[in-house]
Amino acid sequence: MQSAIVDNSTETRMATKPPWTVYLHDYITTVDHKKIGILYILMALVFLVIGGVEAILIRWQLFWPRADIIPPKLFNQLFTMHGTTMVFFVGMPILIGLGNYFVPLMIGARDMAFPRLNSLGFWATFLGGMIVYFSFLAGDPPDVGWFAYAPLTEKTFSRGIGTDCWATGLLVSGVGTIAGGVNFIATIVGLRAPGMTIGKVPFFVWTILWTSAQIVLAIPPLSAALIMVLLDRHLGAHFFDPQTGGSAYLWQHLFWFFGHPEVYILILPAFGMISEVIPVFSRKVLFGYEFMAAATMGIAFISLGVWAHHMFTVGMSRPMEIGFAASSLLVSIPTGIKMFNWLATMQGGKIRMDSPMLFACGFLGVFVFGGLTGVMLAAVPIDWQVSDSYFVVAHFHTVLIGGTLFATFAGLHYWYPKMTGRMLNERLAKWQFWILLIGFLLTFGPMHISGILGMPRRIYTYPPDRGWDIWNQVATIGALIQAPSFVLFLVNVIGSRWWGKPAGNNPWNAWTLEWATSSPPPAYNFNEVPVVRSRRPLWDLQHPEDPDWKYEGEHA
Amino acid sequence: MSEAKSEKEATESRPAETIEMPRSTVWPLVLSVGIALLMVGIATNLVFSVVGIVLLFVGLGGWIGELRPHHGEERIPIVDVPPIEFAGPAKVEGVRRARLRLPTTIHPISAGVRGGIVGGLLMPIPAAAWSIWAGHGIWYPINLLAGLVMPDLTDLSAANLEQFHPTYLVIGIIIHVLMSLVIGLVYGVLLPTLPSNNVGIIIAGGIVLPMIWTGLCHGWMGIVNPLLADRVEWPWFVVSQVVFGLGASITVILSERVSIPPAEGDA
Repeated sequence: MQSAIVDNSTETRMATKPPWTVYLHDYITTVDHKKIGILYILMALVFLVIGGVEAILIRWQLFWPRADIIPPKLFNQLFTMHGTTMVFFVGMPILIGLGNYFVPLMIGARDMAFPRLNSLGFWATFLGGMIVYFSFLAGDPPDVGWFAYAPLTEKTFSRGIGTDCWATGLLVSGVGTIAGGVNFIATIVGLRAPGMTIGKVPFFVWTILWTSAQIVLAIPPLSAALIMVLLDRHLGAHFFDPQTGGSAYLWQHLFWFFGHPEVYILILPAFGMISEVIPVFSRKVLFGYEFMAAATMGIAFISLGVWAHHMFTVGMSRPMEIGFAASSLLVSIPTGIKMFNWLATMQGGKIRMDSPMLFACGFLGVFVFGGLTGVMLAAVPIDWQVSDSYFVVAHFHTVLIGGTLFATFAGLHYWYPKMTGRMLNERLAKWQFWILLIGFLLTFGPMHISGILGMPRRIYTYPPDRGWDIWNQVATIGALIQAPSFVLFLVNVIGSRWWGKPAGNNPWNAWTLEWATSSPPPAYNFNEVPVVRSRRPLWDLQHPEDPDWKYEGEHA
Repeated sequence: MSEAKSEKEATESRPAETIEMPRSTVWPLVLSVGIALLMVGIATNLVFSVVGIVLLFVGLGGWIGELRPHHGEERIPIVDVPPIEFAGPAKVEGVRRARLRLPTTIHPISAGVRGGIVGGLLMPIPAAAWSIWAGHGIWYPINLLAGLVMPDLTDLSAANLEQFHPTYLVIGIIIHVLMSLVIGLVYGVLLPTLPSNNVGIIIAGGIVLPMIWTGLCHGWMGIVNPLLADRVEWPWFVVSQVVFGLGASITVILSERVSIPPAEGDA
């Protein structure tokens, strides 16, 4: 094991610096999982800025009642592109990127199972985003909402190329996402280090495995539905046009069969990152690994059977409503197990409030809040009352920002030293956290209230006599407060790359295999593929007198 | 022949410490651009699609070419190895006690199942007592229980429900036995998580769990057994559950505790 550690320090690498074109060529043609992971993350960060600007413009328009800063059509285009961007070109790529970088390292592999397919996956995802944004250049971005309800997508209602760009872009990026999912499954199943049974994989790897299973099951129905949209628009088919015998209802089923597992595609890896960060910064093993693993599987399975809770108001039959309400409520059980296990991991630990842990704690608080409103929305009568209102907008932003974004920041702050060999600036990171948290609460807290007061989502303006003004104004101020936190993050990431403190191989004194190689790791990751006997191989190495494998059992 | 020889020479001239890794390649990018242009053509002009198809096949061809032996790989020299670091800027020793398996002794799951059987035998007593006291006779509660799987029982009159029906008796007994066993099993599984002293077991098994079960039944009865929901008297329902729980708890207390096989590292 000792010999598995390699030196590839930043100083050594930078001694002979090649021109930037060499770097560019290197990254464009790379099949190295780490470089592809970085490409995914960079792509996601660029789209995060774009989607964030769109969000600020939306909020700016809603600051005053009867405002006319942004015309209605552009407003529709902005919220369509904002949702599409954040789900398809920020959320998934950043998680797949982190998975790409760290899954092979964490399981002791040299690369992904299919390195060239990995490259194809990134480029397809990236080019899919380019196609969707090409619609801006063509002067007609899509304005059908991120879930593009039929028959709005039919030629009758969307005559320009915006919807075509949206559908074809998502089709292309779907190819990339499926390629990524297949690659993760093959890598985790087939390339684990000797001794690393499936019960000993780091928890982040376990969540990526189940996320990939969801990707493979959920993205193809979306691709099929998108092809049907294109057939409707270009070859005169009538899949989704009710006036000619089609069914708008069918689109909703197909879209949400993808759409709700998608929520868990975005949250399971976040759970994985939190499950890596909390034990290391509590100095304890993850409490109840087996239950956590079972809960992850449970969520992955249940999430495939809850999609129609997005459709309670379309008028389904009573048994359908009861069934989907029950299955949706059921998700809260494995999720609750996870939450209690994270708290139990922290209980009695030596907690260090470094920036990754700070974001993890932010995740715990905010995600519970978002989860509880999810339980409310799973109840049919409540859903009928607040469906398509700002309450729903508040709920899913609380889950996706409070859950995915906070957890992703926890992961990025945790693993940045491994990726660059430099520590992030802690002071900037903590400023970023508090500004983001305050801005987030101010933005999405009031949306719950305006939603309950009856404010529908997607409206471009509102009358002044509904009592919605103050809540919209606070939400907009919150969004403006959030914005600098992202700037701080970018400044920190870029600045620390050059001026950050050297990190060493294992700055957090962590226990999984990625910390057993240099920072950043060499192209081949490890000199010798390490042998693993427990879930914390570095603990075993550090404590030969008291190794974990004595407690876990050899057959775990 | 000469090709094989040159390959052998190449192998011999490699640095001793190298690792074979996939070589960088542009073909996946070319293939992706092909797919993207194919799609863009649908939205714009089919000329793009034609170019896309050409690129798609060029990319595919290049990719397949790289799958030939020794074409898609390169050998990378290994860098020297320093010792692993355990003392980073934030070194804090880990907490060890969290890995112990507690408690060290528990009542076995079979004790819970036996408790379920005893509770199941005791439970009909208060149920029958209530039914006779309320003037319904002894067969009334078992007919109501059969309503769980016989929805048409809701059409029967109260007088008919008080009569003896052999079919409903068999169904009612099967339901009661199965539920007693399943709840006993659940109780047995939960035992290690419940308080380990006798008072704790009595409170958990005889009061807390029956109350939780009653709450669940109250919520779901209208859906799973509308007949019972219409006619049940909840105070007596609670008494029956508590009797079941007390019987199960006392059976568990009387059972022998077993040791959890210690982990190798447990002190």
